[in-house]
Amino acid sequence: MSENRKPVAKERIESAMNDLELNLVKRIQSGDINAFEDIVNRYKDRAMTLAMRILKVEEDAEDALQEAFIKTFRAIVDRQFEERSKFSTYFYRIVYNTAIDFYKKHKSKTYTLISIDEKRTDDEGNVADISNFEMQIDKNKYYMSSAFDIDKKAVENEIKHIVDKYLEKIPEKYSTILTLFYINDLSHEEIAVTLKLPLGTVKNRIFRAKDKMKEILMSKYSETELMEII
Amino acid sequence: MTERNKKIDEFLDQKLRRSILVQPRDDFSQLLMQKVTLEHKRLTEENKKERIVKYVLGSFSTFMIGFTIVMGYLYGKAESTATGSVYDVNTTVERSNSLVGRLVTAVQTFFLYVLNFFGVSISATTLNIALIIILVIGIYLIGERLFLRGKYKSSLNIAKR
Repeated sequence: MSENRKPVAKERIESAMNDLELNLVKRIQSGDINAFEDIVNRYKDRAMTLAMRILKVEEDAEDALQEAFIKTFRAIVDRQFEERSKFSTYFYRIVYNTAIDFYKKHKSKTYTLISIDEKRTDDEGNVADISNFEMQIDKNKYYMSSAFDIDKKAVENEIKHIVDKYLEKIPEKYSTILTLFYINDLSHEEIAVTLKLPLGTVKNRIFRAKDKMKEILMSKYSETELMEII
Repeated sequence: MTERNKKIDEFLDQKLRRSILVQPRDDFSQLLMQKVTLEHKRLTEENKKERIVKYVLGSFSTFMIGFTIVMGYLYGKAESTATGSVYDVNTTVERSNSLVGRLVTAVQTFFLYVLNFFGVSISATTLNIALIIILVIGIYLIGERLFLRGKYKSSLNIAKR
């Protein structure tokens, strides 16, 4: 019963949020540009996270985000934004497109990414991408001699750190979808619309990226250790 | 999926939901709003200009179309009283030796042949009126698109890609 109630409640909250945003849009269209500041404050952190997942460099992400906000403002003023579409989906699409354009312009910057598509092994037969990723984490700091003598809170923090690092290091096509799903709270269908991808691809990428994260965590902690934390 | 796996999965979901939110600089909103204010001023100015250009283009087009129709009507009336039948393509198209004249004649002849082929018979004068109206509408649409909308095209279509 409670499981049935949850989506309805979420839907109502989303609908109320959308109404509120549409109201802000109307205010902007009638000349009240201060209403845009509410939109900026409402979205800047989650949009910045999305831009960071694509661009990986904070300055670039901020520049792209600024451009995206101005494009959104123009679109609202020129009544390009249609009220029948959800504002968040529309806005995240602008952020995504702007960040991608930015990324293409600054292609020369190279980022070390974890490969999810293919597993490459080194001479010793280790999966190269995971070992590369682990090198990024200070092993001394996070070394676990025994699951039972480490503070649960500290381990949780370690895992949080691993997850954050992981999101930074995986290719943009995975981190973007994970961010849109978990941080920006878009549904699978909305992500498919935003990124113009088939629904199956969206679900598949979320599954694969999560699976890879699980693989990384499992290479560091045993199942029992993880269960202890949970 | 085993109970353990399910729990690990839920744990991962929770961790991903609580993953780090990257925040822009503290003065981000302030700087952005300054730019937005400037952008708003610019857009208001351009909207004003757009209205003026639209008004000028619209008035010019209306005048041209009106003038063409009136002149065409008067000329057609005078011509039909003088010559009678207007259906023969070769006799209705006026010949000229200048380059523009020859071009106009060629266009007229082409359209009259095409219309004749589909069984529509009109005089060269009526065709002239129709072509001028189409031309004026075309100029208005191209003018509006190029001068008024073209400059915003890239930014406005960003979300549509």
